[in-house]
Amino acid sequence: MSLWKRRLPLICTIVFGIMGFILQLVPAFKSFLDIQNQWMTILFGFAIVIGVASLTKYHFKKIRQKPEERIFSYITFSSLIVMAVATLFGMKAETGIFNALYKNLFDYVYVPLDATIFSLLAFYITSAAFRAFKASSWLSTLLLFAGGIVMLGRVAFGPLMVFGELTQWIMSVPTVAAMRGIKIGIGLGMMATSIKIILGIERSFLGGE
Amino acid sequence: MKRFVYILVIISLLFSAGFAEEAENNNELDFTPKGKLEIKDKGNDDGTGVNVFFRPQNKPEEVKYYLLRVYYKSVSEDNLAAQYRIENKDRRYKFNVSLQKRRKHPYPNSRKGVARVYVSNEKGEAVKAFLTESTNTSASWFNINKLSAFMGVLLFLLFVYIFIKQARRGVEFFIRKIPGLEELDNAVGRATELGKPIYYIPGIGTTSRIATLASLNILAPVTRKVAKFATPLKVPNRDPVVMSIAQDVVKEGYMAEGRPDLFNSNDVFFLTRQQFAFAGAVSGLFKREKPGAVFLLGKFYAESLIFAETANDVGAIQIAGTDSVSQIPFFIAACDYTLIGEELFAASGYLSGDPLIVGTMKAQDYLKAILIVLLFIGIILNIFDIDIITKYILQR
Repeated sequence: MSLWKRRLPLICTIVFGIMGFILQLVPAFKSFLDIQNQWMTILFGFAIVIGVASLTKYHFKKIRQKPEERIFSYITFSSLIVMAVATLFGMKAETGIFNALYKNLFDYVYVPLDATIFSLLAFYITSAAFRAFKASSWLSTLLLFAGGIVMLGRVAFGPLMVFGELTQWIMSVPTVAAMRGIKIGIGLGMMATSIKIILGIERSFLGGE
Repeated sequence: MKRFVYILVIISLLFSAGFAEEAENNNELDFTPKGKLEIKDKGNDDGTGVNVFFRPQNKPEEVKYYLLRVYYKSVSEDNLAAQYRIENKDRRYKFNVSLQKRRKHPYPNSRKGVARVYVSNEKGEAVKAFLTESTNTSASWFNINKLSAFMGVLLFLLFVYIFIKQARRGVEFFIRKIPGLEELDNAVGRATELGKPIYYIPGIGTTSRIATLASLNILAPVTRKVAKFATPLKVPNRDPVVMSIAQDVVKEGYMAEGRPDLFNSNDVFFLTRQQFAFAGAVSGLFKREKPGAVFLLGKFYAESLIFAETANDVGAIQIAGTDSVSQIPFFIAACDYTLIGEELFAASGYLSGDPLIVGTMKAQDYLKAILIVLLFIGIILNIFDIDIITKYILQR
């Protein structure tokens, strides 16, 4: 077992894992928890450098190997540089060309692009629902009926309000019951995984047995 | 003489202004402000929390607004921790105040809180202070609200010890079949037959998320299976730390199978930290490279369906799993196989077959059985209006 690759990360995991557990139980040590959180922020700050290096390497290789896709890499590089410069010099400034560039890129490029990808979900939900609502077995038929009632209930008015009440019942009784069951399992699974990692039983994330 | 008259006029004006001011003050305070103020240590914390209770005893017609100020250590503008404007509605008010130090304060966390109540005017200004109370706070050495969690962990450790001992003696434990993990070989085989790459997305969580660590634990056996067929494995990442760990996991996986030549650090890469930019980038990769199999395992949020539907659109076999309860239905609707909730955490032991890990899975099952029994007892007792289980065990 090599020191740098396995033993040291394992020791760090065990020590900081047990420390984290104690910090959660002992409120008197809360200031140490705050220090730990500050360390994490610093670590993430350094990690982004590794990320940008990886991205740059990936796109350089892509430009060399896939000339037909090089346009995407050029766009990535130019976006990375322009946005970094605009943010570095323009984010804190009140006025000036960099501030205007930063604001315009953020408000009129980044936000609309983000919203566009998010809005795609509406179409994806429709296509996924279309496949899920096929009455191929009794379970999928049940799902179809439940889905139909909930959809009607969401737009119900007048005599159709009975679907509204049914929807309310479906959403607050069987759905919540199922979700809580899953949540209990998830909670136990998280606890078990944490303890496995802290005790060094689970080491796959270190790259091996 | 003229000068003397001027001086007299000025003096009389000053006197009359003074009397007017006094009269005005007397108008504002033509009642006695009354109230009951209490300040108590919050407890179960690091000694920085206080609870302040105030009950006005003047009628709303007399005093419409009060001002409550809570200070660190002593009454001083520099030590002000919080202030609240209270409209007199003739009821008891409660405030949770944190005395946590602010950066400008030279001393560490305060150990004393002072509450002072003022009569306030319409503008929200303090007119007259009439009540002051203080308390000393202390840090707790054990958070009693986490007692049942602590007991649960101890019980779990006991079960882990028992089952690991049994596993070492060679006892074989039964684990039910998980279809999503059973199909793993088929998914890798299918991608190999089609000559297409395999994409593994470890979610968009950081390493502080247990689901991300569970995903990285699954990546190890997946890499070993992939290495046997020499199929390209690509792992796009949203977090640079996760990327670094994933690179090591994949490298070790190839090495374990005796194929270090297959490892390419460029196949485990960082894309972006922005959620939907990452979703867009991964969807683009799916569309262009048309993977044969896609693994979506880890922490996912709203972008889950974008990944799943795009992968479905390009004809990839998808195996998904997450601990985000709101995203599980999307994965079930869109993916071929879904690991529901805890199956994601069990996957590593299931795939590796390591008796120690399987032992901990068994311990988890026993803890779950205890929880189910507690829930049933709680339900029955609650029918008889006895809330001892729900109030003192499950909520703590």
